[in-house]
Amino acid sequence: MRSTSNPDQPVIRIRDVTKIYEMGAGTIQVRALDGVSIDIHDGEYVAIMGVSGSGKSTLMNIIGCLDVPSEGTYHIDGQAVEAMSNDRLADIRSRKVGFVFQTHNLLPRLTALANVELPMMYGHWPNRRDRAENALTLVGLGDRTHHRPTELSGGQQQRVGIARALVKEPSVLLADEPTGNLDTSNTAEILNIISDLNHENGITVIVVTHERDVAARADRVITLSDGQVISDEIRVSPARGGNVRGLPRTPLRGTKGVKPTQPNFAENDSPLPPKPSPPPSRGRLSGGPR
Amino acid sequence: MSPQDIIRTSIYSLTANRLRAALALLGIVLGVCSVITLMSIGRGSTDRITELIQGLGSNLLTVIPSGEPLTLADVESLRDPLYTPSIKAVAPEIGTFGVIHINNNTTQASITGVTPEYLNVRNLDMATGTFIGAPHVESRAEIVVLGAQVSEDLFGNQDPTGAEVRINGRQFRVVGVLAAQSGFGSLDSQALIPITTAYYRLSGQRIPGGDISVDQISVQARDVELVDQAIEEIETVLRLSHRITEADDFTVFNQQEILDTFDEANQTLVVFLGAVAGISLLVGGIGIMNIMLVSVTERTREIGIRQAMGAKRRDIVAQFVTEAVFLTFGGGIIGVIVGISLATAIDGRFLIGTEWSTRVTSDIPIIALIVSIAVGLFFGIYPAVRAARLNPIEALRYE
Repeated sequence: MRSTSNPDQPVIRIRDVTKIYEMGAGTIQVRALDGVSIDIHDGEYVAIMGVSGSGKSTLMNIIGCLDVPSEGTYHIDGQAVEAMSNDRLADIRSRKVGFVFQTHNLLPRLTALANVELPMMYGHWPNRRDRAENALTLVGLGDRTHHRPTELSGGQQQRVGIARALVKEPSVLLADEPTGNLDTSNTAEILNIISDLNHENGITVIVVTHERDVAARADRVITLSDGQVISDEIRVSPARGGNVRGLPRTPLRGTKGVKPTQPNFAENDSPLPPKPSPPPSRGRLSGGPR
Repeated sequence: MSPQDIIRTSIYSLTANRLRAALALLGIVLGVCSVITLMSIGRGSTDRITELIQGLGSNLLTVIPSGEPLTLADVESLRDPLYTPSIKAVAPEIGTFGVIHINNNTTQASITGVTPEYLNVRNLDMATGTFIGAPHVESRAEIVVLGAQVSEDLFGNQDPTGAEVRINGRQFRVVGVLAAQSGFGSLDSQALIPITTAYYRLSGQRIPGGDISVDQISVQARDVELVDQAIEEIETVLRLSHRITEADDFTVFNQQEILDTFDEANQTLVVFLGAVAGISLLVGGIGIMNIMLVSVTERTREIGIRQAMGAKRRDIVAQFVTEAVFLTFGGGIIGVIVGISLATAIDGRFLIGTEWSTRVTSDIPIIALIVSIAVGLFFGIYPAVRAARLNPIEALRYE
């Protein structure tokens, strides 16, 4: 179902990306990213680490299509992002990127359900309510759909944030310090949900963090320093049987014909309804320019 | 975003700060309300002037002497259809002043000496009785037709027909009462008597040759289109009969022209009032813009979230412009309701020493609503574009 015909084509393909910020009317140039090249494949669970100022936020903004590189190329699902207009970027964000923020960034006066519906509103999705309910059920909040964020605990708020990110079945779930504002037990709960989404539903996950505990959950840890990748280690977790990529797993989409074997926090049979027919622009760029 | 989503999102945002939305709305309400009220007053007074024109007869001309007196002989010349084919009727009059009394009731009134033509030329209606007839003029009869106000002053609600009154000491029999009129040039406080009676019995002046001099002559043209031609005919006849070679010794007034001048002055006033009201609507619009700019700043983070969720620039613009238009349109509707109520309430009332007359026509509220929507669009665009231009990264970081 991915737009890539070639299963080996990475979901995220970053080549020699440099991001330069000009400060003080162009007199000072800051290289936030300096020649970064990363490939991330479908189904990976990647942690991006680094101290503050290492460029990890800039990298996350570029992966999330909130920003474009100054130099180099970035493809998401085979689509070249670096030359896109603001509206095309917004379109990519609405379809391919699921954001989970450190501060959950929910709209305070909307219910959990309406918050989860929000990204689908901008992407013109049908059956928004059903999808949003399913997504909330998937993160274990099926009974809290009509609560407002202020009526939910910090962990529950973050779970709504996750539901909002995954409701549109993004190519990548992009979590920026998802547990930064949570206590230990809520942290574990959120990390479990993210791990499950990756393991059980095959969602590609990128977590940006500076905490080793959080990064330890990932299969691959990329460390940035001064805008450069200083280490990229693939860790083989025993539970995953050593297979990092292309491992057999339960697909998220019912269209693959396989039901979740162990829906440990979902009581519905089909967690998410089938994906709508892809927008026409998608086919045009599929396969990538290279 | 679908239109329903845009509307739902705008309502969500507006209900976030109801007091602020209500205050911003109030500016538009006042603006629209004043536009409606002032325009209705303008329409009402224009109506009244039109009524006056029709009441006086739009084909009415007035000839007054300016040198040699005008006489009944002049009136007869003007009546000759051979020389004045465009003239329908000629009504001379002599104005004087008198005290009318009956028993203990006394009133002062303008006493006007007229001929039977006066009734039609001045478009008068009788309330009771009959008007002055040709035999009355012939015989210098001492009869009188009372204006409505004079009749009421002397007789209250009783029908005075047949009663005897004294005018400047002479006894007159009341033959009829004029229907009440209103407005400019009303004959309500006049009494009409035959022109010959006025000349020989009440007026002291005499001219050589035994002719009767008159104060003014009302001339009715056959048709409004023939007014200019009638003026020419009057001038030709009078110049001939007065043997004038240089400056005219009479003046012809066109009633229509006078009232056109009134009407023009009134229109100027209406435009001026409308402009003042328009300025208050403009001020309301600036208030909306101010509120929207504050709202954009306050909701920077919300805008960032929406952008991260995939909102395009046009989605953000649509949301904020819709909010502004909601405010101005809502204000417009309330303003229309209040304005129409106000205009209806003051219609026909005496306030601040004036009788107000208003007319609410259906085009006024429609124009006001369209203008209020336009104000929302105009003053909403800039804040909306500012919101849409926000950088999502910075907006998400905004505290």
